[in-house]
Amino acid sequence: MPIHASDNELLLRVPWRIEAGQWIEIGDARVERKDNGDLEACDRYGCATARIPRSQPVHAAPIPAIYRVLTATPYIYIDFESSVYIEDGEDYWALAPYEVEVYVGDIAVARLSPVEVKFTLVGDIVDGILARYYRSIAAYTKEELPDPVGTAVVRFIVRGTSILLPGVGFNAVNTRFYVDNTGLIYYPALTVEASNGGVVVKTSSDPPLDGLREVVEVRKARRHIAAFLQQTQPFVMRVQVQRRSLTTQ
Amino acid sequence: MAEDLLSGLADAIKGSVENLVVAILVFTAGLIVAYFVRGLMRRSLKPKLPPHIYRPLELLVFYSLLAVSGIAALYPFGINLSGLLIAGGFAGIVVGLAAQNTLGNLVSGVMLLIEQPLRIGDPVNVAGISGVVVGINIFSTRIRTWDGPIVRIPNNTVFNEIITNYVRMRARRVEIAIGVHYDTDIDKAIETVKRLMESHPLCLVNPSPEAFVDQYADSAIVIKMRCWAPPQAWFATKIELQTRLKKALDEAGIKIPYPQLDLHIIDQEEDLRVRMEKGLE
Repeated sequence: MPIHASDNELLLRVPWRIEAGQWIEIGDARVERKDNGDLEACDRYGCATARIPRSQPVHAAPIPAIYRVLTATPYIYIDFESSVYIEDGEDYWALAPYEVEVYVGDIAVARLSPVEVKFTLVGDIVDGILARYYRSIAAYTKEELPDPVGTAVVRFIVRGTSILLPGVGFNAVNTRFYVDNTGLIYYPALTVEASNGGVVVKTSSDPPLDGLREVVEVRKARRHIAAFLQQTQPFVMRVQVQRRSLTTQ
Repeated sequence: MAEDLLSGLADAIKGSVENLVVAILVFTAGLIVAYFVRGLMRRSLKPKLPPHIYRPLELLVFYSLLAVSGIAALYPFGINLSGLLIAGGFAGIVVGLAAQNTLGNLVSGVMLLIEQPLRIGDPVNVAGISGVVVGINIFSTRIRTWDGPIVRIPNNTVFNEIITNYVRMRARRVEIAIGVHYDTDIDKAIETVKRLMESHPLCLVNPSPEAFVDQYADSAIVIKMRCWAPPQAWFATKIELQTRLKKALDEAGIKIPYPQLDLHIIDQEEDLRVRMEKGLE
């Protein structure tokens, strides 16, 4: 699932500005602006079309992956391929999905998912948390991560007790995105506060690395915000911690 | 004699005016207190509660205070309050008996507003009526059924019936049963329906989808498939899975059988002759 565009320079400028006659393809998401003013934005779940005057700029920007195919939760959960032993003060890296929002001025034309959409319940059926699901490896360095097409890089910094963590969730509402000079997209740094009872994950607004540029959206405000998306509670997850028996012979 | 009469009349008028002034003062004070309490309630409840909840409460308190100040204002005129209360009590019993259902609905309405087992916009089933709640007021609850009509249910009924709220849950289970032919490789059929659920964006990863043989029926092996979906997308998930299921089974070469009946004829001495009608061949 590569990232392609009619003009390679287009990929480096986030938000991506799409002129008439240009197209951009990020994983499964494809946005094409034809010369006659037709705009077509598609992903594996459907297409949106609109006619946009040539004089109007059309942009596409990364947004948190909480809208496609259903706006049902503010949380994203990254399920690690292998549980990771985390320690106080260490930091880890993973990949998390983002969505591409195509907009004209302050009107959203389409929201597209570059990757497959899945949801999960973190916890049990009685008091679990519904979250957008993504499976990723947890890496000790950013370089260990696979090619992040259609996904953004997430850095999480651990505070507290050492535990074995099966995954990490976070509240993605109102998150800012950052981009490096290669066009790689980053979620802001996450702080994982671990204790014997579980983890509390707080989403910061800090860039995960120095030297990144914040993705500043061109338009002023997002419309049609669902009520629950005003929530800013951190992600809280219970983790069953099994401590080693300390009896000695 | 005339002087006594005049002075008596003057005293009576004077006493009445004094009583009237006291009564007006008492009622005015009561009115001010009622307005003050109403303002206080409005300021504290309005940001926290929807209008259909705080308005009835506010009115109830306001008119109760007015009634109390009205009764207190009658006191200087020597009107016997105990007699009035007894009369009021009898009147209350009569009105209460006559308006038993209405008062029951009112009390149930207040209880529903406090407990909030359903809210506007919730898909629910109340007293066998399924639909979306479009309004809750102090006497009744209105539900728009799935096929369109709006049903008004008295709050007394709502409060005393079993209420199923389909959105106050983390996830809701989608369950579909499908019969496959007895010649089918069961493992392949189960694998096919599992893959179908796993590929659906709204079938949750956890709790994981499951498929199993539910029963060996007369004409088919019945496979049951289950997955959990976000409650607001339950119906969409169910119909999409049902629609895609046939195609997925067709692609896997799995047949959905027609009902079959083996007919055994016992003690038939002569050959059984069967005539095929034209068009059935």
